[in-house]
Amino acid sequence: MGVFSSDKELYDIMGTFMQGASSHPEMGPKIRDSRIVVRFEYSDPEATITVDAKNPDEGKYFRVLFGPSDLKADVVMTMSADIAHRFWLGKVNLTAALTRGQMKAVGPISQIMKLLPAIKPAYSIYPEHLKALGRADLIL
Amino acid sequence: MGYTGKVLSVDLSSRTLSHLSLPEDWYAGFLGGTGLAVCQLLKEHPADLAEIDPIDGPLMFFTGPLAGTGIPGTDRLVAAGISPYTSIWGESSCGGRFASTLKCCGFDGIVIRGRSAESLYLEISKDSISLLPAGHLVDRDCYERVDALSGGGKFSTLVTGPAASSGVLYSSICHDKAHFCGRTGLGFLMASKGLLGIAARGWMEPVQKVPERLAEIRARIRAKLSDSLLAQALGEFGTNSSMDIGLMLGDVPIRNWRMGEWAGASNINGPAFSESVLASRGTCRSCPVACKRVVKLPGAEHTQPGPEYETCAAFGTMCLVDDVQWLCTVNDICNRYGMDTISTGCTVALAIDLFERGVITAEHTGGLTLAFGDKDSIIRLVHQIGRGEGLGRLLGRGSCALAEEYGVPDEAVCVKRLEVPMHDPRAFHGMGLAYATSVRGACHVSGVTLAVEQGGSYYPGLNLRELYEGPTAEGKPEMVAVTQDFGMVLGSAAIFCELAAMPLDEMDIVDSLSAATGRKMGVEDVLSIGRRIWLAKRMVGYIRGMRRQDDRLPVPCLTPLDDGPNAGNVPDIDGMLSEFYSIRGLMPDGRPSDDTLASAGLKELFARYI
Repeated sequence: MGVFSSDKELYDIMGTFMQGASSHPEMGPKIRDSRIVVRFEYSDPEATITVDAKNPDEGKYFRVLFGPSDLKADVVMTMSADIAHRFWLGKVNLTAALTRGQMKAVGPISQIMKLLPAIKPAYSIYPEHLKALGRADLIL
Repeated sequence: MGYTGKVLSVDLSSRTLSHLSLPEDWYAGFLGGTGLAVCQLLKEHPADLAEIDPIDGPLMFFTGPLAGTGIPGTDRLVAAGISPYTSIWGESSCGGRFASTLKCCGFDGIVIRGRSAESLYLEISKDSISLLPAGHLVDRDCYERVDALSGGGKFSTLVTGPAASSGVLYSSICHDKAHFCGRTGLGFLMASKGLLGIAARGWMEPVQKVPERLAEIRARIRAKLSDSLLAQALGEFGTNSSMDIGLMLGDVPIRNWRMGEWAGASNINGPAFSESVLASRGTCRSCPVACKRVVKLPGAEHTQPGPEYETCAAFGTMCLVDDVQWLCTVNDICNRYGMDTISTGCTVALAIDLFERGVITAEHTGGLTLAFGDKDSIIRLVHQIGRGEGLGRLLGRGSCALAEEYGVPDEAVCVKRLEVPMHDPRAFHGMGLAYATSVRGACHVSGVTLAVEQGGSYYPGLNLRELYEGPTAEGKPEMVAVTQDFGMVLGSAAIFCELAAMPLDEMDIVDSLSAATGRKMGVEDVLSIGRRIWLAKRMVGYIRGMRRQDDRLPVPCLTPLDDGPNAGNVPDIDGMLSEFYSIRGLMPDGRPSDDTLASAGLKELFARYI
């Protein structure tokens, strides 16, 4: 069995992590500066999270949408939920994952590359988020 | 069949030109590039290889069998000889168009011997092949020399720069203002022979035996590159596209290898250049990746070549300067002098570090205050190096000379006297072993180790693991040996650009070689050729005095960092080295055993030493 038993659990954990990032002083501005819409499409369980840095919520650096959305994405990232979880913990080599097809990125490379500076701060934020939710058991 | 079968022989002492025909078994057994060069070196110096002055040895330029085929990433030239910088085997390659041009002149390579008191340049064209006076080049920088020899772009050029005349041992060879044979000081070797430039203009078609098969492979490779995210990133942001991921992985050295994190690094990533100074993208002949940057600074009249990742790290993260325009400027200064930006940047970073720690003082620098992040003092120091003035004269002899001069030899971040390039072995321990055992000193391109360990390349047919964890020794000695063997063919003999080849697999390489040479090859054949070439270069190093104690990592790379992705992590180099020696068939003192040489087919080439 994977890390998340249902899409609800994924949204409760990874979705709220994204929501928290939308006001995080280090990660938030880096995603805002990309000015793009990126959709994360997960499998096992199936779930979709859209990050919209073009139309941020009031007082936030960007907005986060759960589930299917009509919003046109500039970049679509596809991966299993387990890979996503490991990735935010800093346990996945991005280059290798993209080369091996564990992660797929579709969209202009110029847009995709703009997301990279936002990733590194997440490696320390996500484990803290898990601890705050009482899910330190998910830290690998 | 991939070769012209002729090599141009140039004797500068007697000013005579002739043609060489290399033995067919060299082509079959060593393929091309540095494989042929190492054979030629041993043929010319069978008895005195241990003691000859590098300047008295040959300077050799060789192409590979794929040059001129139009296969992306294969228009590459290697320069080789005994390095005046490291005193062991020296080699450096560049892309551009010279390799295919040389094939179109009817030559697989050029071997240059002797030296001339008068400055000369070599011109190769349909009308004549001549050594001509080069007095008009002497007081000019690399770009001006290219302009003087290129005939408005009709000739493909190789030039040395004024730094070589100033005694900079890590001087580069500049090709058409945009490509450089940077490492191991072969520009110094060329200038020391009195040869300031080569200008070639092809007039014939490169001969290929099986054009249909080559066309199929070329189309297959172009399609792979088109689909590859890595290739797209290289095209969009140049080699500096790796900066962000490198920072995440702990691959990028910071503050002379002493820091693991630095916020300023994100200000000099690939997008930062594209959004501020990028004017256009440049490329090597027949390569759709187009990773070269052409930049234009505000207020400048002309464009100039932009810096590569290695330069951005050597002068940016290593010296703590997060200014895109300044990096373009310092890159331009180094290019014009003709100085390897890795060795220059690393030597400058070491000088700053030693100054800040009080090992060297203003008395040594002629009053110049050095500090990390101080752009003006760094520029002044780089000019001093290029001109051979003040402290720059010492710095022009490199990091090891600087550290030795001030009694701190362990501070030099070099292997076999060559500065470690901009990939931190504390993040990727296999790279640490690859640096320690590289045949030309610390090198990130003489194998495909970096691409495999970082995950950018995957070669299922090489029997490697699908994934390697970076900061461990597990499985690394075997991986390093295999990736060195494969890399010897891919990057040094075939010759592919290691960046354009990243999205390819081993069969793309093997099939290309089979089609171009007319000899049916398999993966084992290619690995066998690579092993032979690696061992031959290793033997040259051994004959020139390299021993097991030289297969080491510098102390700073074995010192744990306090911060960053690899804090507290250092490679177990001794453990990996023992296993590596066993896999490679090396004796305890570092020499390939007689059995190892014999089984690699090197008995005849090294008969004197067996």
